[in-house]
Amino acid sequence: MKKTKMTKVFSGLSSVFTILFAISMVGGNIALDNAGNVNAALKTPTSMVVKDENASTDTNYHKTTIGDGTFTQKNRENLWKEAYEQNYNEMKEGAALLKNDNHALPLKKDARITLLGHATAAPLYDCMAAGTRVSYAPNHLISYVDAMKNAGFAVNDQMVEALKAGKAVRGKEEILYGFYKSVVATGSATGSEEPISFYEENKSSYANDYQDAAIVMFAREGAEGTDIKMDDDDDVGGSTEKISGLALHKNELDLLKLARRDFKKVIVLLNSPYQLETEEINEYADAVLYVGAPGHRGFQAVADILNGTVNPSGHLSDTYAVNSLSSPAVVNSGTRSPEFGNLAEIRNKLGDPSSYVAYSAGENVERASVQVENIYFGYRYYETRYADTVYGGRGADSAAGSSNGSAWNYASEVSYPFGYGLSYTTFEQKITDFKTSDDEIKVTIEVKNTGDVAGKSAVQLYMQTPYGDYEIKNGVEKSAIELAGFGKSKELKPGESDTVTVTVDKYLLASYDQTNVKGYYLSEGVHYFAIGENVHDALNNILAAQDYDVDGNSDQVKSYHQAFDSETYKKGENGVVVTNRFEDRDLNYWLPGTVTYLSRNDWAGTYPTKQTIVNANDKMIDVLSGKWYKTEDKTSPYYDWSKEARESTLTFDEAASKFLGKETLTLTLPMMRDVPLSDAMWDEFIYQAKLEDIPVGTGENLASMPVGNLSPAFNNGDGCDSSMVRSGYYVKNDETGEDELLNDGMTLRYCSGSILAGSLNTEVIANRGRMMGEEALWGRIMMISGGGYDLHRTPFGGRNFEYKSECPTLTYLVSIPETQAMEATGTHMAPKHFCSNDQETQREGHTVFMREQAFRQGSLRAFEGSLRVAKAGGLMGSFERIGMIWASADYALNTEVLRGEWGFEGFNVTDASKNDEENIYKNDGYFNHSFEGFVAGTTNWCFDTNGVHGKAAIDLARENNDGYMVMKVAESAKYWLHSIATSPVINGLSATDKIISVTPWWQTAIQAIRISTGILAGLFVIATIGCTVYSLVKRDKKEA
Amino acid sequence: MNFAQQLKKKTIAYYIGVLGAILGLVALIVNIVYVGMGGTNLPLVYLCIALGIAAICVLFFYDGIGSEIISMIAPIGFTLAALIGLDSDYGNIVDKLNGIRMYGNPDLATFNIVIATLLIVASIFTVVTCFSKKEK
Repeated sequence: MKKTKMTKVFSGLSSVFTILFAISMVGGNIALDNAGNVNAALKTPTSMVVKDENASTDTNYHKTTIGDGTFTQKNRENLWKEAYEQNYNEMKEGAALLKNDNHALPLKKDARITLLGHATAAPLYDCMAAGTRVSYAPNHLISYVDAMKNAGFAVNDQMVEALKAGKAVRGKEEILYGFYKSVVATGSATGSEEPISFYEENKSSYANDYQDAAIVMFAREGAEGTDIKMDDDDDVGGSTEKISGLALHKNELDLLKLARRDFKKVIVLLNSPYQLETEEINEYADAVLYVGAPGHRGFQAVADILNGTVNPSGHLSDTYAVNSLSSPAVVNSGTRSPEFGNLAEIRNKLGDPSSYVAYSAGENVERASVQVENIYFGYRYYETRYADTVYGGRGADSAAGSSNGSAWNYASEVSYPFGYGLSYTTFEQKITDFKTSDDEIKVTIEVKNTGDVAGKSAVQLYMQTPYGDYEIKNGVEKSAIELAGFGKSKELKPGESDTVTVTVDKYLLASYDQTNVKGYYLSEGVHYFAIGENVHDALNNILAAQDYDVDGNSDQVKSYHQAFDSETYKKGENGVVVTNRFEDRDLNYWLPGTVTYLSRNDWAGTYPTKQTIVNANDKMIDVLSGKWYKTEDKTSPYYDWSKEARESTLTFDEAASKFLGKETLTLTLPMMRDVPLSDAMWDEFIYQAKLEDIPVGTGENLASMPVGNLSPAFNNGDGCDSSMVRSGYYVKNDETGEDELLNDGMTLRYCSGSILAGSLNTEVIANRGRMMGEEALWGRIMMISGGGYDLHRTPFGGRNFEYKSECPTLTYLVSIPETQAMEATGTHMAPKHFCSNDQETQREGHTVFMREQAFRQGSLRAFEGSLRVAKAGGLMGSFERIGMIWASADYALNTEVLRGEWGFEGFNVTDASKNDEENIYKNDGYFNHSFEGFVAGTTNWCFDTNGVHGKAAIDLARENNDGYMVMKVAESAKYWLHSIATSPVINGLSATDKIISVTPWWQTAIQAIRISTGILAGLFVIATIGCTVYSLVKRDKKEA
Repeated sequence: MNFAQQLKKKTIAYYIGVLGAILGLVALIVNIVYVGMGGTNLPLVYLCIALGIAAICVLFFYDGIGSEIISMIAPIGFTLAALIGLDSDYGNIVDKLNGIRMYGNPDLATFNIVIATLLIVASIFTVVTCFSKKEK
């Protein structure tokens, strides 16, 4: 009996410890795969620095420009002060006043007001993506209601409380697992506003008071991974057909009508970074103010605009269409992106799962969008089509694409044009000088305040380049008007004047001819430049100068004659020829004649009236497989990409032998900070490492690991509107003189991208880069994956709040000062997502076909300012496919254009990849093609803390005797190390300090648990078996 | 063998194990639904759950020498099934908690939680069976 009892005890203990062992194995693997995130959460160091006590040099290589220039606790307060000021100034100068009938605004400073709309109770401070969320750091927040009260308004608190207790939800609200409340953006506006009955029940709160004005706030919320729905459900009682997610839903319209009925003054705030439809709003509102997503402190500026403390001077960086679905770019994109026609066949041939799951082993093939809109999205569509209705012919006024089914008419299609924005005063602008040279156009504009209120005036300079026989013959599409540059006056008192000079790089006048020149060229003919209050105004000025009968002022226009020039922009940086590289991203390359791209030469005949469904042939499926390294198929467009790899005779051992594994370094990281990347010393530096340490230099995470003894562990930031630095900051301890790491919480969330861009103020824009850079500098952060330079191709893109505009030129121009200012702090800007990340729907693997001209002058142009001109120190790639190639595995994009034509020298990290070690070694899975990624020019893999992609590449190179791949991995690590050496990571490090890798305590604990539970499980299993065998033997003996 | 007699012979500890097996079966069914909704199909999960259920079934009929070893199969099988599933698809839960759509499918996270919870509870119940007599 006793033995049987013991057997049961051993059996139970075996189970318990085997279970614990299994948990430690699997749980431990999950933790180790996500080591960077665990280290960041637990704040565990992975390296330590052994200081050389005799070193005496000043090791603050990157100095702060905050306050008195010291890294001290006292000066830290100045950083917050400046950050708050920046957030405020962005909204102060970026909020756009769209309507102001009868001087409805400004309100009296002590006005008694009622705030309406569910957004009052749940303001959209930001949208969910990487970056500090306002909710993570409430200590910085000035709430919407508090901001109104701070501005002196008496606010109807009863209505506010009622709204907070209301049932409307913007998104999906869940209580997870009984305790965790989550509200997740869904891109839908259904149910996001209270029904009219709610307001009728609460109207007693304003029956006798708070009647000076109703402030109605509407919001729309998308997110990373979530587009705004193009086909949304209306509210209960509303339309039974689907409506646009950006159209007013029934409850919102009812609210507007109630506000109009009950209040003499109705002010509407557009608390949405996505362009809401505003025609119905305009019917009921006296004033409309666009405020985007204000971040932590922006609402204070909104309130100060409403009470007249601030005179608004912002302008729209997007077109507000009457019908948000009217753009041709909507046809094949966003939530309407069609699937491949033969998807099942493709998945079968690729061996993919039968349904799409992100981060599966499959190639993430699902949807294919054809950008039939060509270059015509945003104002490039609406204004060009308008111009052609004036010029006549070309079918511009046909019904194709018309929102109301009859002849296309601009007034029926556009509510507010790009660049629109009113002021509380009036200004007069006139061009006083216009100079042209070989490289640039310089326009001087005098600005005068002709009104009664002080204010700033933005100068918008637009251009029109010729669209003639050459362009038509060679398929070069031209927008009838494009932004050329901008500037802003100082604050002008009534009657005061200022001079603004706008200098335009002539490169921006060039168009890409993919047929004849196969490069950029300047058209022959008259080039017009015009100023205007917005793009449409400027276009009308040009049309007037061309003697068309429109409401325009030809005095606001200058012009010059340009000769045809295909030589000046033939070459890029370092003499690399700019030429066609993306022909295979056009669906017609694979399936000739499938796509008719929109052309202004024939609006009626080329306007897309139905979706393009792509049926991939076998060659296309081959490309979708993502495998092209050392392809022997000479007909493949990717044959040339592997040329170097195929021709290399370097053996694995020859490559590996270069790595010396020195314990004591002759070249240390601080020594390398001023050494150009092209210098051979960088090879000498990296060869000091052991080969097995190099792969970590191809990983990346918010907490990045040391690369052997070459570099210490460090942290990175992430976010376009916030740096998300949360690892603390360094100050000098006055008593010990040593640096100490303190933490005062998370960094600030600034305004959404279109508010920043809409300020049209280079100083404000640059200071964003500076402030985010400073936040990172104090934390010795290497880089911020920020910027946000993809395009608002449609109003529905989920991450539009991070990106700046529908206009590639505005994005280009904004990106330059923002990037330069951040780089000047020492922190590197890694703009994202490079490129074509214009939608969130199936972003991981979304296939996008386009013409080369549209790609170069659209998505590429938007990033060119930051990467080529401003010399960003890094970049983050995109999840999307350019054509059928993942952006990070695209050699043409990352090597030929980025490194070649643009001379980019920074690191190149993917968007979030996963440590799917098993499939990385099999070269199976969208994010797992290491060889292709490294050869394409990717240097780092996001969230791959331990460098699994790099390790796999080296292990497989060893198996295949591929020395070339070893050197490719090493080259990637070199870019990374160069970026570290030139960043604030080296602050505090002297040239003679030693860096030692440290294993975080939790990793040691995992190993200890594994060993102990494994041993105990083993012992108890043996004991159980032993007892069982003993019982068997005893029974046999008995029977015998 | 008389089925009714066998039922009477079994201890409460055994029936706790049966409860565990039922929870395992429920987890299996939920997993099938999960896969149908787009979740990852992992044959090992089915195998481990099936072995766990089978072990409890065998113990209904047999409580002799070696039954302690058979007992261990259930909790270990259920735990392994839970861990294999979580290891593959924990991204769904991460996305759900963060309100994003990046590492998996947050819409399926509830399935992952339910399946893992059922299997963990099943493991706990069947561990009790290991420690105890299964027949009076």
